[in-house]
Amino acid sequence: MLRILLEKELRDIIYSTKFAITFAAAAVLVLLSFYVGIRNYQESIHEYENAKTTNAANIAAQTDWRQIQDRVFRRPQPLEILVNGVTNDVGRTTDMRASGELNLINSRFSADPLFAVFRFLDLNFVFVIVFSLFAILFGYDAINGEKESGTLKLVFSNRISRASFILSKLLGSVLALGVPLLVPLLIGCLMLLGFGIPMSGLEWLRLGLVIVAGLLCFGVFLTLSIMVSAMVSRSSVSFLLSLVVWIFSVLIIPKGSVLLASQIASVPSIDAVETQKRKFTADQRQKWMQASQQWFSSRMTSSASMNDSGFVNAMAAFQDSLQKSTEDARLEFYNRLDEDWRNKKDWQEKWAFGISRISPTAVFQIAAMNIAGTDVGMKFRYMQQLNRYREAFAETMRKKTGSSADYFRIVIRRFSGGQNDQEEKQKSLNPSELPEFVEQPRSIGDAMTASLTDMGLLLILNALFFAGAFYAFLRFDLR
Amino acid sequence: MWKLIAEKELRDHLQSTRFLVAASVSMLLLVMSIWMGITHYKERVSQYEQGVQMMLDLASQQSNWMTVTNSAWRKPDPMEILSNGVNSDIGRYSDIGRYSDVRLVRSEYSDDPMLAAFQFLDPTFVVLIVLSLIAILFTYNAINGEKESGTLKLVFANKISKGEYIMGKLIGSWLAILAPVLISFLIGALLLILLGIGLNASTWGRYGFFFLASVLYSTCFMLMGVFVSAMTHRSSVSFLILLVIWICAVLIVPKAATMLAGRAMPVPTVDEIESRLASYSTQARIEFFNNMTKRSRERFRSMADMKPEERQPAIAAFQSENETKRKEMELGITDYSARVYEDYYNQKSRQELLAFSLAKISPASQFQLATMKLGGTDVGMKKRFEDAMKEYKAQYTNYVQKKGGEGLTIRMSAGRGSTTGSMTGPPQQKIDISEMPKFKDPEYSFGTSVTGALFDLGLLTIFNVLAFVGAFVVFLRYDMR
Repeated sequence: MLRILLEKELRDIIYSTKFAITFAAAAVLVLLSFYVGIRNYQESIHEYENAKTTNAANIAAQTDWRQIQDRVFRRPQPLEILVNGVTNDVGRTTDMRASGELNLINSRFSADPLFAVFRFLDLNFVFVIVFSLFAILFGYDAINGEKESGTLKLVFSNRISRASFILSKLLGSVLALGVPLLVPLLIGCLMLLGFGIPMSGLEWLRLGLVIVAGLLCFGVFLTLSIMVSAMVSRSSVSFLLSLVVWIFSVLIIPKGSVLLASQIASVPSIDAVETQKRKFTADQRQKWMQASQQWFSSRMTSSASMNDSGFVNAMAAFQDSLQKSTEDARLEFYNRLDEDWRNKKDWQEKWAFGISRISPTAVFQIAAMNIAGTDVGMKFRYMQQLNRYREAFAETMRKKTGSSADYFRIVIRRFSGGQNDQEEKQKSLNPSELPEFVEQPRSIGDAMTASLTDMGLLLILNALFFAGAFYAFLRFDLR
Repeated sequence: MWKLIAEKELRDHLQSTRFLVAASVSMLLLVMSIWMGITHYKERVSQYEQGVQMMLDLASQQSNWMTVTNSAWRKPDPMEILSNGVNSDIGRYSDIGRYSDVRLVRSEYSDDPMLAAFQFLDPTFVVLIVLSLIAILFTYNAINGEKESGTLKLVFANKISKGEYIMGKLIGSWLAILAPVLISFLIGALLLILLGIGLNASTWGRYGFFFLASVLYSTCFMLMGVFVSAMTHRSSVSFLILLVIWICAVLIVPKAATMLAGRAMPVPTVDEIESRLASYSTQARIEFFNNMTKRSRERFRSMADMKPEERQPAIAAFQSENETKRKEMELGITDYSARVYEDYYNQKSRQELLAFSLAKISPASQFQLATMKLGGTDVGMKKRFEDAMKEYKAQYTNYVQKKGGEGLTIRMSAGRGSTTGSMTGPPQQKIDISEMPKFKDPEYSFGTSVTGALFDLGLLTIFNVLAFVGAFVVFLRYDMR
């Protein structure tokens, strides 16, 4: 019996105009989001390569390692195109220095507000807004619609148990809607292959997980709206109810939770931290000047000759040690400040995401961002890697220049008094002597652990609404 | 007669559950979004004030203008409450100094990715997504629903012209949509006053125009709803068609338009521009340095035979010559950078024009672009502020130069075979910052914002008229059986 009902349900959905139109719209959107993402990725990879080449050329044009301005660029990752997350808001460029604080600048949206106006169409957006809306569209009259059209009574004039009816409804809708949606998603994956987007096996796995999470989110809305449909006897009312749920979970709860969290767990403004840093640096500069002044005065009065190579070496050594102590003190101070702020911020984020998890779409979004590595921790992780790279960079610079001092340095050039009129042949630099920054993407284990709760939550919600719909229908008034 | 029909239509709406739910949701959302906007605005104001104050405090503790890190901060505008636009995407301040380029850094979203993950809820977003959906929900079965329930035939059993009937329908539905919008904007205005957001005549004017834009936009979707409803015979079909139109207009067209424009008219990225500038200035500096080395070599040789008393003025002359050369070089770099940026902005604005022209097929983008203009958070916001900051930078560097910002100086006197030197630091007394020029935000008046929005509002009006005429004409030919 169950099989007949299931077949009927599948046929009903697939042959309907509603299905044809919504499926076409969903398919177009999914394919569009893949296409837009692929194009975006190709463009940004191209820009990234360009920027790197120009940077290398700029270094090669120099003749003195002390004068180079190295820049490090964040490499676009293929998964970012499908789940944008915060990637377009996090800076992409860093001025690499051996000392001092590193900053990420020129985020895509700040560099080019045109794209911030309407933002991008990514797969995440399609899942969150469009798929959930479609789920509601099919679920809202699943039960009470049949009652209104009178078919429900007809069905139950046969020997059918309520359980098998609702089971076939639920399974039928999930199959009839979920499976067709897989088609454009698979075509999208083929597009990734066709356009030659370099994706590793692990990245495919991640993409698979994102899609699974998206379908789970779709399932939540489908079972939820069927449940509502089995609880309310008029389909117009159940549609309204489902729509209100949709509006709240897609639009209100996620945005509201962030605002609420900032009221509950306040974090000192980042500018206060920045000012403390600036104040510290300004003090350091003052101290640096005084120390150098003292050193110079003491040396110069002792009638040391500045032509003496011993003097130059002593000065370099002095500046080096000064630089090292200054930088160590800075690092310690900055790290303490950052860590303190970071801890408070973490706490706030926990609140925000905790509250937002009332909404199934937020749960999906958090899971998808974590899997794709575009979650809120992205900036922090990247900065950590940059700081690690900086150590290698500083080491190279020390070897090349004999000093890691890069701000405030007095360089004495001696002009050999006349014999050597021709300029010393200056060799241009070879930028490949600098260590290369290779970004480690977030490990799959990390991503999995971070998204485990949310995936579990989505599963639980599915089961919950499934059971809810089942239970509600058992008590449904068929008349 | 049409009055009677409008009255009946309005009553029908007001008494329905649909109206109750939809109106309360939209009112709740609009008021909440305004309240959230106010909270956000207040936070931003305190952030702004703190930032400026801390910068000044830090500056006043310095003993030399050289060590001052000045910065210009973007002052929040209360109208950003209505439309957040690109406000959180572009940097909040720029460092101002002789050797630093003006660049807005540390946008709200980059400083706090948590906010970027879900973004802000502003009234523009609520109107854009929720009101348009509700407008469709109110009217998708305006005509064919009556036919399905059989009331259409009944109505026309009386002596009613089709024209009067459709007019009444439209006006009745329009009033039903207008009511919640009007009420929530009034509550919003009340909130703005009660929570002490200082609004003046100009900002109230912009608020009024924002209301107008919202009404025009939701009317547009309402008219389209009636239009489609009068073209089809089954309400389930008209709802689907409208939903597809809605998805295209709100979600696809705007995003696809920018994407297309980006592909059709590629513009170099800021990174590329910056590295081009860096390579130019590096080259200029190297050239300057090599030139100086050569000249000083010659100079030192010629000075070797001078008497000590002649030597001092010669060194001074040489130094001032160097100074002029250096200034020339720096001027050259500034000129080049100005040229490159002008070129960049020209290309950029052509790209924007194309993107927005394409996007304006959709009433949703017309509405969004208009409200961004009204809120002052449009795509030109970044350039507006950076231009003002560039002007300020010139003012400030001039001032500092006049004040004689001096750094570490090393004086040397070269004698035969030996060089003696002394190093002096800056004087150790605190500088007086009371006369330091202050950054003024670029003018963004009622006139500018409304003129900017007028074109889009006009388009929206035309769209409305078209949909109205369409609904009217289609209904006149509607098959009532």
